[in-house]
Amino acid sequence: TSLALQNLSLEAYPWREPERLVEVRPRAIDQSSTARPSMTTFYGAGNGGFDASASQFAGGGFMPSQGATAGGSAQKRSTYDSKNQTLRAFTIKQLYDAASATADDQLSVDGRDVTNVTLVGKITAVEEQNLVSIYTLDDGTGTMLTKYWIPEQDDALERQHRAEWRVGVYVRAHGHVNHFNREKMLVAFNIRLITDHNEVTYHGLQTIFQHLHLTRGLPAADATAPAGAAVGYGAAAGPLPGATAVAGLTPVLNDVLGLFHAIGGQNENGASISDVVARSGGRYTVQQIQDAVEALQNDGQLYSTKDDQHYKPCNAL
Amino acid sequence: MQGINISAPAPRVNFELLGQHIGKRVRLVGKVEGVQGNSLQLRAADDGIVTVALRGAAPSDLFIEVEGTVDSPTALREESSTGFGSNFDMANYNELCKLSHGEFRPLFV
Repeated sequence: TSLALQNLSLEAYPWREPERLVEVRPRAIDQSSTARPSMTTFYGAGNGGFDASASQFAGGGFMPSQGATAGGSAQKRSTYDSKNQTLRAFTIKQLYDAASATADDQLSVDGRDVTNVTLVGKITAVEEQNLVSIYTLDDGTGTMLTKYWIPEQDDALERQHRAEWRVGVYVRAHGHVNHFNREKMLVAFNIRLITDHNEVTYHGLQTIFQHLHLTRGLPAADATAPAGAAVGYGAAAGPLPGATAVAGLTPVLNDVLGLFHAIGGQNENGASISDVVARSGGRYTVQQIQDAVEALQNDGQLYSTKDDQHYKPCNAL
Repeated sequence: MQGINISAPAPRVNFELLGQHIGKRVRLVGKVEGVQGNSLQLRAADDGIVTVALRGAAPSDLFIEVEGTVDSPTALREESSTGFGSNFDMANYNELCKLSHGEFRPLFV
Protein backbone atom coordinates (compact mmCIF):
# COMPACT_ATOMS: atom_id res chain seq x y z
CA THR A 1 0.00 0.00 0.00
CA SER A 2 1.12 3.48 -0.67
CA LEU A 3 3.16 5.67 1.60
CA ALA A 4 0.13 7.80 2.40
CA LEU A 5 -1.92 4.91 3.71
CA GLN A 6 1.02 3.76 5.79
CA ASN A 7 1.32 7.26 7.18
CA LEU A 8 -2.28 7.21 8.30
CA SER A 9 -1.16 7.31 11.87
CA LEU A 10 -3.68 8.89 14.18
CA GLU A 11 -1.03 10.48 16.34
CA ALA A 12 -0.04 12.80 13.50
CA TYR A 13 -3.35 14.63 13.45
CA PRO A 14 -3.69 17.20 16.23
CA TRP A 15 -7.39 17.88 15.85
CA ARG A 16 -8.12 14.45 17.23
CA GLU A 17 -9.71 14.69 20.62
CA PRO A 18 -10.28 11.51 22.56
CA GLU A 19 -14.05 11.60 22.60
CA ARG A 20 -16.23 8.57 22.59
CA LEU A 21 -18.62 8.14 19.77
CA VAL A 22 -22.02 8.98 21.14
CA GLU A 23 -24.34 6.09 20.64
CA VAL A 24 -26.97 7.14 18.21
CA ARG A 25 -30.41 5.77 18.84
CA PRO A 26 -32.86 5.16 16.04
CA ARG A 27 -35.36 7.86 15.38
CA ALA A 28 -38.99 6.95 15.61
CA ILE A 29 -39.87 9.98 13.54
CA ASP A 30 -42.05 10.53 10.57
CA GLN A 31 -40.27 11.95 7.61
CA SER A 32 -42.43 15.00 7.07
CA SER A 33 -40.72 18.31 7.42
CA THR A 34 -43.03 19.44 10.17
CA ALA A 35 -41.80 16.75 12.51
CA ARG A 36 -39.03 17.96 14.73
CA PRO A 37 -37.09 15.27 16.51
CA SER A 38 -35.49 16.07 19.80
CA MET A 39 -31.85 16.70 19.27
CA THR A 40 -30.88 15.96 22.84
CA THR A 41 -30.71 12.28 22.02
CA PHE A 42 -27.95 12.88 19.56
CA TYR A 43 -26.10 15.76 20.96
CA GLY A 44 -23.86 14.21 23.55
CA ALA A 45 -20.41 15.05 22.27
CA GLY A 46 -20.99 18.73 21.75
CA ASN A 47 -19.95 20.59 18.70
CA GLY A 48 -16.26 20.89 18.91
CA GLY A 49 -14.69 17.58 19.56
CA PHE A 50 -16.46 15.01 17.53
CA ASP A 51 -13.78 12.65 16.46
CA ALA A 52 -14.46 10.06 13.84
CA SER A 53 -11.03 8.55 13.90
CA ALA A 54 -10.72 7.64 17.57
CA SER A 55 -14.14 6.14 17.71
CA GLN A 56 -13.59 4.04 14.70
CA PHE A 57 -10.27 2.66 15.77
CA ALA A 58 -10.72 2.42 19.50
CA GLY A 59 -14.42 2.03 19.99
CA GLY A 60 -14.87 -0.53 17.29
CA GLY A 61 -17.01 1.98 15.46
CA PHE A 62 -16.22 1.01 11.95
CA MET A 63 -15.08 -2.56 12.41
CA PRO A 64 -17.29 -5.00 10.60
CA SER A 65 -18.67 -7.36 13.20
CA GLN A 66 -17.55 -10.93 12.89
CA GLY A 67 -21.06 -12.24 12.88
CA ALA A 68 -22.41 -9.97 10.18
CA THR A 69 -24.78 -11.75 7.87
CA ALA A 70 -24.13 -11.28 4.23
CA GLY A 71 -26.82 -10.44 1.73
CA GLY A 72 -29.29 -9.14 4.24
CA SER A 73 -30.09 -5.95 2.41
CA ALA A 74 -33.58 -7.05 1.47
CA GLN A 75 -34.80 -6.96 5.04
CA LYS A 76 -36.31 -3.85 6.51
CA ARG A 77 -34.39 -2.97 9.62
CA SER A 78 -36.63 -1.75 12.37
CA THR A 79 -34.71 -2.77 15.47
CA TYR A 80 -31.64 -1.11 16.83
CA ASP A 81 -28.65 -3.42 16.87
CA SER A 82 -25.84 -1.81 18.81
CA LYS A 83 -23.30 -4.44 17.85
CA ASN A 84 -23.73 -3.70 14.18
CA GLN A 85 -23.67 0.09 14.30
CA THR A 86 -20.64 1.38 12.50
CA LEU A 87 -19.21 4.79 11.74
CA ARG A 88 -17.79 4.85 8.26
CA ALA A 89 -16.09 7.47 6.16
CA PHE A 90 -17.41 7.91 2.62
CA THR A 91 -17.20 10.03 -0.45
CA ILE A 92 -20.52 11.34 -1.71
CA LYS A 93 -19.95 9.31 -4.87
CA GLN A 94 -19.91 6.11 -2.82
CA LEU A 95 -23.25 6.99 -1.25
CA TYR A 96 -24.70 7.89 -4.64
CA ASP A 97 -23.62 4.53 -6.06
CA ALA A 98 -25.08 2.70 -3.07
CA ALA A 99 -28.37 4.59 -3.39
CA SER A 100 -28.56 3.82 -7.10
CA ALA A 101 -27.99 0.13 -6.47
CA THR A 102 -31.08 -0.44 -4.34
CA ALA A 103 -34.73 0.52 -4.03
CA ASP A 104 -34.37 0.00 -0.29
CA ASP A 105 -33.94 2.72 2.27
CA GLN A 106 -31.07 0.73 3.76
CA LEU A 107 -27.82 1.40 1.92
CA SER A 108 -24.96 -1.01 1.63
CA VAL A 109 -21.36 -0.23 0.63
CA ASP A 110 -18.64 -2.83 0.20
CA GLY A 111 -21.00 -5.53 1.29
CA ARG A 112 -21.95 -4.04 4.63
CA ASP A 113 -24.85 -1.94 5.76
CA VAL A 114 -24.33 1.76 6.16
CA THR A 115 -25.41 3.08 9.55
CA ASN A 116 -23.50 6.13 10.75
CA VAL A 117 -21.66 8.12 8.14
CA THR A 118 -18.99 10.78 8.21
CA LEU A 119 -18.38 13.11 5.29
CA VAL A 120 -15.94 15.96 4.73
CA GLY A 121 -16.86 18.61 2.20
CA LYS A 122 -17.10 22.24 1.30
CA ILE A 123 -20.37 24.05 1.98
CA THR A 124 -21.67 25.45 -1.29
CA ALA A 125 -25.16 26.52 -0.21
CA VAL A 126 -26.93 27.29 3.06
CA GLU A 127 -30.64 27.47 3.66
CA GLU A 128 -31.62 28.42 7.18
CA GLN A 129 -35.16 27.70 8.25
CA ASN A 130 -36.82 28.02 11.61
CA LEU A 131 -36.25 24.52 12.88
CA VAL A 132 -33.64 23.19 10.51
CA SER A 133 -30.69 24.33 8.44
CA ILE A 134 -29.99 22.70 5.12
CA TYR A 135 -26.43 22.72 3.81
CA THR A 136 -25.18 21.57 0.46
CA LEU A 137 -21.93 19.71 0.97
CA ASP A 138 -19.55 19.29 -1.95
CA ASP A 139 -16.58 16.98 -1.55
CA GLY A 140 -15.40 17.09 -5.15
CA THR A 141 -17.02 13.73 -5.92
CA GLY A 142 -20.56 15.04 -5.69
CA THR A 143 -22.93 17.18 -3.67
CA MET A 144 -25.28 16.09 -0.90
CA LEU A 145 -28.00 17.90 0.95
CA THR A 146 -27.35 17.87 4.66
CA LYS A 147 -30.05 18.64 7.18
CA TYR A 148 -29.19 19.86 10.62
CA TRP A 149 -32.00 20.18 13.15
CA ILE A 150 -31.65 23.17 15.44
CA PRO A 151 -31.27 21.81 18.98
CA GLU A 152 -33.97 22.51 21.52
CA GLN A 153 -31.33 23.94 23.83
CA ASP A 154 -30.16 26.50 21.33
CA ASP A 155 -27.68 28.67 23.20
CA ALA A 156 -25.21 31.34 22.18
CA LEU A 157 -22.32 28.89 21.78
CA GLU A 158 -24.43 26.68 19.52
CA ARG A 159 -25.43 29.67 17.41
CA GLN A 160 -21.84 30.79 17.20
CA HIS A 161 -20.79 27.41 15.86
CA ARG A 162 -23.56 27.45 13.29
CA ALA A 163 -22.49 30.89 12.14
CA GLU A 164 -19.18 29.37 11.07
CA TRP A 165 -20.84 27.00 8.63
CA ARG A 166 -20.85 29.32 5.68
CA VAL A 167 -20.49 28.92 1.94
CA GLY A 168 -16.88 28.21 1.03
CA VAL A 169 -15.74 26.51 4.24
CA TYR A 170 -14.92 22.86 4.78
CA VAL A 171 -16.82 20.97 7.46
CA ARG A 172 -17.02 17.46 8.76
CA ALA A 173 -20.52 16.06 9.17
CA HIS A 174 -21.61 12.95 11.03
CA GLY A 175 -25.06 11.51 10.56
CA HIS A 176 -27.38 9.07 8.88
CA VAL A 177 -28.44 8.83 5.29
CA ASN A 178 -32.16 9.45 5.27
CA HIS A 179 -34.70 8.82 2.61
CA PHE A 180 -37.19 11.63 2.09
CA ASN A 181 -39.46 12.33 -0.88
CA ARG A 182 -37.59 9.85 -3.05
CA GLU A 183 -34.34 11.66 -2.29
CA LYS A 184 -31.47 10.60 -0.12
CA MET A 185 -29.92 13.18 2.13
CA LEU A 186 -27.69 13.31 5.13
CA VAL A 187 -29.32 14.08 8.45
CA ALA A 188 -26.40 15.34 10.45
CA PHE A 189 -26.27 15.03 14.21
CA ASN A 190 -22.95 16.82 14.30
CA ILE A 191 -21.19 19.31 12.07
CA ARG A 192 -17.75 20.70 12.81
CA LEU A 193 -15.75 23.38 11.06
CA ILE A 194 -12.47 22.08 9.70
CA THR A 195 -9.52 24.18 10.78
CA ASP A 196 -6.60 21.92 9.93
CA HIS A 197 -7.07 21.08 6.28
CA ASN A 198 -4.90 18.02 6.52
CA GLU A 199 -8.17 16.56 7.75
CA VAL A 200 -9.50 16.86 4.21
CA THR A 201 -6.62 14.70 2.96
CA TYR A 202 -7.07 12.38 5.92
CA HIS A 203 -10.72 11.80 5.12
CA GLY A 204 -9.99 10.98 1.48
CA LEU A 205 -7.35 8.48 2.51
CA GLN A 206 -9.66 7.07 5.16
CA THR A 207 -12.38 6.29 2.62
CA ILE A 208 -9.81 4.38 0.56
CA PHE A 209 -8.41 2.62 3.61
CA GLN A 210 -11.80 1.47 4.83
CA HIS A 211 -12.81 0.35 1.35
CA LEU A 212 -9.62 -1.69 1.10
CA HIS A 213 -10.12 -3.22 4.49
CA LEU A 214 -13.67 -4.28 3.81
CA THR A 215 -12.97 -5.64 0.35
CA ARG A 216 -9.63 -7.27 0.94
CA GLY A 217 -9.13 -7.62 4.65
CA LEU A 218 -5.95 -6.83 6.49
CA PRO A 219 -3.19 -9.39 6.83
CA ALA A 220 -3.08 -10.85 10.32
CA ALA A 221 -0.42 -9.37 12.58
CA ASP A 222 0.97 -7.30 9.74
CA ALA A 223 3.97 -5.36 10.94
CA THR A 224 3.59 -2.79 8.20
CA ALA A 225 -0.03 -1.95 8.96
CA PRO A 226 -0.59 1.73 9.82
CA ALA A 227 0.43 2.50 13.36
CA GLY A 228 -2.92 3.98 14.27
CA ALA A 229 -4.76 0.98 12.97
CA ALA A 230 -3.14 -1.35 15.45
CA VAL A 231 -5.27 0.11 18.24
CA GLY A 232 -8.64 -1.12 17.12
CA TYR A 233 -7.57 -3.65 14.57
CA GLY A 234 -5.34 -5.77 16.76
CA ALA A 235 -7.66 -8.65 17.47
CA ALA A 236 -9.94 -8.31 14.53
CA ALA A 237 -7.35 -7.87 11.83
CA GLY A 238 -6.97 -10.85 9.62
CA PRO A 239 -9.08 -12.84 7.20
CA LEU A 240 -12.64 -11.75 6.65
CA PRO A 241 -15.38 -13.64 8.50
CA GLY A 242 -15.89 -17.18 7.28
CA ALA A 243 -12.42 -17.55 5.80
CA THR A 244 -10.39 -20.69 6.30
CA ALA A 245 -7.03 -18.91 6.46
CA VAL A 246 -5.10 -21.29 4.26
CA ALA A 247 -1.47 -20.25 4.33
CA GLY A 248 -0.15 -18.87 1.07
CA LEU A 249 -3.51 -17.63 -0.21
CA THR A 250 -4.47 -13.99 -0.34
CA PRO A 251 -7.25 -12.84 1.99
CA VAL A 252 -9.64 -12.68 -0.97
CA LEU A 253 -8.92 -16.25 -2.08
CA ASN A 254 -9.26 -17.42 1.50
CA ASP A 255 -12.55 -15.62 1.74
CA VAL A 256 -13.90 -17.19 -1.45
CA LEU A 257 -12.64 -20.62 -0.44
CA GLY A 258 -14.37 -20.14 2.90
CA LEU A 259 -17.61 -19.36 1.13
CA PHE A 260 -17.35 -22.55 -0.92
CA HIS A 261 -16.76 -24.49 2.30
CA ALA A 262 -19.67 -22.81 4.03
CA ILE A 263 -22.20 -23.30 1.24
CA GLY A 264 -20.99 -26.43 -0.51
CA GLY A 265 -18.74 -28.27 1.89
CA GLN A 266 -21.42 -30.82 2.63
CA ASN A 267 -23.00 -31.05 -0.83
CA GLU A 268 -22.07 -33.66 -3.39
CA ASN A 269 -21.84 -30.97 -6.07
CA GLY A 270 -20.37 -28.29 -3.86
CA ALA A 271 -21.61 -24.74 -4.48
CA SER A 272 -22.30 -22.77 -7.63
CA ILE A 273 -20.60 -19.52 -8.52
CA SER A 274 -23.92 -17.68 -8.31
CA ASP A 275 -24.52 -19.09 -4.81
CA VAL A 276 -21.19 -17.72 -3.70
CA VAL A 277 -21.81 -14.32 -5.26
CA ALA A 278 -25.14 -14.11 -3.46
CA ARG A 279 -23.73 -15.27 -0.15
CA SER A 280 -20.90 -12.75 -0.32
CA GLY A 281 -23.53 -10.05 0.00
CA GLY A 282 -22.28 -7.93 -2.85
CA ARG A 283 -18.69 -8.14 -1.78
CA TYR A 284 -17.70 -9.73 -5.10
CA THR A 285 -18.90 -9.67 -8.67
CA VAL A 286 -19.43 -12.82 -10.73
CA GLN A 287 -16.20 -12.07 -12.58
CA GLN A 288 -14.25 -11.77 -9.37
CA ILE A 289 -15.56 -15.11 -8.11
CA GLN A 290 -14.74 -16.72 -11.46
CA ASP A 291 -11.21 -15.36 -11.26
CA ALA A 292 -10.85 -16.57 -7.71
CA VAL A 293 -12.18 -20.01 -8.65
CA GLU A 294 -9.59 -20.28 -11.39
CA ALA A 295 -6.80 -19.35 -8.99
CA LEU A 296 -8.07 -21.74 -6.35
CA GLN A 297 -8.30 -24.54 -8.87
CA ASN A 298 -4.73 -23.91 -9.95
CA ASP A 299 -3.72 -24.00 -6.33
CA GLY A 300 -5.44 -27.33 -5.81
CA GLN A 301 -8.07 -25.99 -3.41
CA LEU A 302 -11.22 -26.40 -5.51
CA TYR A 303 -12.37 -28.88 -8.11
CA SER A 304 -15.30 -28.66 -10.49
CA THR A 305 -18.16 -31.09 -10.00
CA LYS A 306 -21.14 -31.43 -12.28
CA ASP A 307 -20.37 -28.48 -14.57
CA ASP A 308 -18.18 -25.42 -14.82
CA GLN A 309 -20.43 -23.49 -12.47
CA HIS A 310 -20.12 -25.85 -9.52
CA TYR A 311 -17.05 -26.30 -7.37
CA LYS A 312 -16.13 -28.05 -4.16
CA PRO A 313 -13.15 -27.71 -1.83
CA CYS A 314 -10.56 -30.44 -2.25
CA ASN A 315 -9.64 -30.54 1.40
CA ALA A 316 -11.87 -30.63 4.42
CA LEU A 317 -11.67 -27.69 6.80
CA MET B 1 -32.34 20.10 -6.18
CA GLN B 2 -31.48 16.44 -5.93
CA GLY B 3 -30.50 15.03 -2.57
CA ILE B 4 -27.30 13.48 -3.90
CA ASN B 5 -25.86 14.69 -7.18
CA ILE B 6 -22.69 13.54 -8.93
CA SER B 7 -23.19 15.33 -12.23
CA ALA B 8 -20.52 17.98 -11.66
CA PRO B 9 -17.55 16.50 -9.83
CA ALA B 10 -14.27 18.34 -9.41
CA PRO B 11 -11.58 15.68 -8.88
CA ARG B 12 -8.43 16.47 -6.91
CA VAL B 13 -5.41 16.91 -9.13
CA ASN B 14 -1.73 17.64 -8.99
CA PHE B 15 0.29 19.15 -11.85
CA GLU B 16 0.64 15.90 -13.73
CA LEU B 17 -3.07 15.12 -13.58
CA LEU B 18 -4.03 18.63 -14.62
CA GLY B 19 -3.10 17.87 -18.20
CA GLN B 20 -5.60 15.00 -18.30
CA HIS B 21 -8.48 17.32 -17.38
CA ILE B 22 -8.35 20.06 -19.99
CA GLY B 23 -11.74 21.73 -20.19
CA LYS B 24 -12.92 19.97 -17.03
CA ARG B 25 -13.52 21.11 -13.48
CA VAL B 26 -10.94 20.16 -10.89
CA ARG B 27 -9.79 21.00 -7.38
CA LEU B 28 -6.13 21.80 -7.02
CA VAL B 29 -4.29 22.55 -3.82
CA GLY B 30 -1.06 24.48 -4.19
CA LYS B 31 1.45 26.54 -2.32
CA VAL B 32 1.42 30.23 -3.26
CA GLU B 33 4.61 31.14 -5.12
CA GLY B 34 3.55 34.51 -6.47
CA VAL B 35 0.68 36.86 -7.20
CA GLN B 36 0.52 39.41 -10.01
CA GLY B 37 -2.80 41.19 -10.09
CA ASN B 38 -5.40 38.66 -11.13
CA SER B 39 -2.90 35.89 -11.68
CA LEU B 40 -1.69 33.47 -9.05
CA GLN B 41 1.23 31.06 -9.24
CA LEU B 42 0.71 27.88 -7.28
CA ARG B 43 3.14 25.05 -6.74
CA ALA B 44 1.12 21.86 -7.00
CA ALA B 45 1.58 18.81 -4.79
CA ASP B 46 4.01 17.23 -7.26
CA ASP B 47 5.99 20.49 -7.65
CA GLY B 48 4.69 21.70 -11.01
CA ILE B 49 3.79 25.39 -11.21
CA VAL B 50 0.20 26.18 -12.16
CA THR B 51 -1.04 29.61 -13.19
CA VAL B 52 -4.45 30.47 -11.83
CA ALA B 53 -6.65 33.16 -13.37
CA LEU B 54 -8.45 34.57 -10.35
CA ARG B 55 -12.03 35.71 -10.30
CA GLY B 56 -11.56 37.94 -7.32
CA ALA B 57 -9.18 38.15 -4.42
CA ALA B 58 -7.47 34.96 -3.35
CA PRO B 59 -7.32 33.87 0.29
CA SER B 60 -4.18 35.06 2.02
CA ASP B 61 -3.13 31.59 3.15
CA LEU B 62 0.12 29.94 2.14
CA PHE B 63 -1.74 26.92 0.78
CA ILE B 64 -4.85 27.45 -1.30
CA GLU B 65 -7.37 25.10 -2.86
CA VAL B 66 -8.68 26.36 -6.16
CA GLU B 67 -11.76 24.92 -7.76
CA GLY B 68 -12.14 25.76 -11.41
CA THR B 69 -11.81 24.80 -15.04
CA VAL B 70 -8.57 23.66 -16.65
CA ASP B 71 -7.61 25.95 -19.53
CA SER B 72 -4.31 24.31 -20.42
CA PRO B 73 -1.88 21.79 -18.93
CA THR B 74 -0.47 24.58 -16.78
CA ALA B 75 -3.41 26.91 -16.26
CA LEU B 76 -6.57 26.92 -14.24
CA ARG B 77 -9.45 29.38 -14.23
CA GLU B 78 -10.79 29.94 -10.74
CA GLU B 79 -14.45 29.54 -9.80
CA SER B 80 -13.88 29.54 -6.09
CA SER B 81 -10.99 29.14 -3.69
CA THR B 82 -10.49 28.14 -0.08
CA GLY B 83 -7.59 28.85 2.23
CA PHE B 84 -5.83 25.71 3.43
CA GLY B 85 -3.70 27.36 6.09
CA SER B 86 0.05 27.38 6.40
CA ASN B 87 0.60 23.85 7.64
CA PHE B 88 -0.51 21.45 4.94
CA ASP B 89 1.16 18.14 4.13
CA MET B 90 1.64 18.17 0.36
CA ALA B 91 3.22 14.73 0.20
CA ASN B 92 0.18 13.02 1.69
CA TYR B 93 -2.08 15.13 -0.47
CA ASN B 94 -0.14 14.14 -3.56
CA GLU B 95 -0.63 10.49 -2.68
CA LEU B 96 -4.35 11.06 -2.32
CA CYS B 97 -4.48 12.70 -5.76
CA LYS B 98 -2.73 9.73 -7.33
CA LEU B 99 -4.76 7.11 -5.48
CA SER B 100 -8.06 8.78 -6.34
CA HIS B 101 -7.26 8.62 -10.05
CA GLY B 102 -5.73 5.19 -10.04
CA GLU B 103 -7.04 2.04 -8.53
CA PHE B 104 -9.63 3.78 -6.36
CA ARG B 105 -11.06 6.06 -9.01
CA PRO B 106 -14.59 4.56 -8.69
CA LEU B 107 -14.80 5.93 -5.16
CA PHE B 108 -14.23 9.45 -6.46
CA VAL B 109 -15.35 9.85 -10.03
